[in-house]
Amino acid sequence: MLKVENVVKEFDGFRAVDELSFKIEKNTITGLIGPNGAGKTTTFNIIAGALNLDKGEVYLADQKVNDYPAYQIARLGLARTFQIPRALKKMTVIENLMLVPNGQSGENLFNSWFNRSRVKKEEAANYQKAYQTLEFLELTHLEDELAANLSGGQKKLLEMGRALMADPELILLDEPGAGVNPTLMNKIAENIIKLKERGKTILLIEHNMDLIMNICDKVIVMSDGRYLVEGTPAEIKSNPEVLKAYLGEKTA
Amino acid sequence: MTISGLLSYLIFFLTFAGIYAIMALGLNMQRGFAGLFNIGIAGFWAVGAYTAAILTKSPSPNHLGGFNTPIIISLLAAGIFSAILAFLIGIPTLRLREDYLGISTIGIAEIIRLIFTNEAWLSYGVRGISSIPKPFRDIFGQYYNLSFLALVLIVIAIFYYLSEKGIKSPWGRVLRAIREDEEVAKASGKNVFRYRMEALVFGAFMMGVGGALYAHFTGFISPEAFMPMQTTFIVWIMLIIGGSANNFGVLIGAVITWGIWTGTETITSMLPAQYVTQAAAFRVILIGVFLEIILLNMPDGLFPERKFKA
Repeated sequence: MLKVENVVKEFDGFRAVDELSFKIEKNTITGLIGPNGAGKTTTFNIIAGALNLDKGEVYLADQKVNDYPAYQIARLGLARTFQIPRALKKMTVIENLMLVPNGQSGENLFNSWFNRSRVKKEEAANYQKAYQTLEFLELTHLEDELAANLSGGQKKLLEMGRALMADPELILLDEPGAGVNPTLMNKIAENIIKLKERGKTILLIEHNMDLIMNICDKVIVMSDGRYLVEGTPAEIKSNPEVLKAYLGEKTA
Repeated sequence: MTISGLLSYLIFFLTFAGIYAIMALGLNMQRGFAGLFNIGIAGFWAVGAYTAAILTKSPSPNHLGGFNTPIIISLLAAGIFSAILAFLIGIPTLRLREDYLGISTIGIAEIIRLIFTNEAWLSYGVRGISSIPKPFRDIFGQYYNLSFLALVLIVIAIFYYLSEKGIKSPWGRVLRAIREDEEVAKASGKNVFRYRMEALVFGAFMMGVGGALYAHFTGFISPEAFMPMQTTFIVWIMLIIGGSANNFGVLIGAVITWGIWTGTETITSMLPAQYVTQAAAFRVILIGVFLEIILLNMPDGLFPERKFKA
């Protein structure tokens, strides 16, 4: 589903991602973990096309997507959420969701003037889909609220909702559980599992080890921009290299 | 002042306010909805005005012209030339951060003004183009100003309608999303560059048509008319006072701001002659104070952006 090969990304000589390679199989949940500054979010940004890589290759379903701009990668079936939720503040919750689907004929200005009946029909279907997504996230009561007025946790859910609206094959979740309460955390975990049941592939960055242990099929560990090791959650938990990466080499 | 005198002044006032309202609708499309920082309205205005003047005039030895084009064509052509200018500016700047667009537009507006100042074969330089045709003057005779106001109102109605329809559609939703956070729009598969370009070009088209109406109404244009204060900044003030991203608010903002601008002119003209230069500066200060009051009390303008119904 996703293949990353020897990817290098430098910022002013600092190697944020260093010869990174890994592969993700279809319909799995993979956790990407590592200490702060390991280059996880940078890797996400490269895969999603938000950053250009300096070297290496990224394949999405066997298609090389190195030089694709972010919006084209999104159209190939990749959706991502942001570490710090990016709600479209002056737009309502339902608008935040209805924005997402691609190929809406009303996205063409001339259609919005001269082909109004078709646009209207599509909008009705789009609304249904967005409303169902809100039901899935249990946010229907906030439908017409401006996104600026949501709580942090609700914004997290909205991020996930936007990713769902794209009907993606591969979903990148950047710390879906950061800063949310345990109840919401469980709900997010359930949602991720439901996504897998629907046939989606998920790659997530997360610091909450309980979440990683509970839902991931495979865990990839990064450290200092490099690929360190991968395995099942249980293997990773007891791997001495991983402990070293997290806790440092010098032990008192 | 007699009733009819007052009435004709009102018509005159509303026509000018209406032309400014067209500019403000154009700026609102660019700034209000798409978040584009265009501070070169003067340039689009000038291109529209000169296009209309050159196309509609009978031949003159002083400058390019003599095409005798009907006004409908000249209005469209003015919009199109202004739109082409926007397209050319947009190509290099819309991929960059918004301040680059701002710098480019203000720079290009000055360049355009200087071109019309120096290229005499085109525009007769600082002497300007005079006796620009006044459309339908023969038909309406003494009601000419009223008929011109009607024309301006028709143009406003068309642009208002197109603008509202566009902004309430999925197209407008993408625009507003880009304004709020372009990374989100990109991650949702939207071609940010394309939408920005469309908003810039659409807004510039309106400004070009507004410029053409200005040329026909005044009958005389020279580079002097396209200084930034009168043509760019006052439109921005209209947008800010009326309410960015609210087309109705922007129309009201145009009328109020133009009212203050011309009202103070009437008042300061009553001052003794030795204060005339100070008075001109004082008007700018008054507008500034008014802007401050609005910004402090209503940061989103008189009519803030409304919630859009899904």
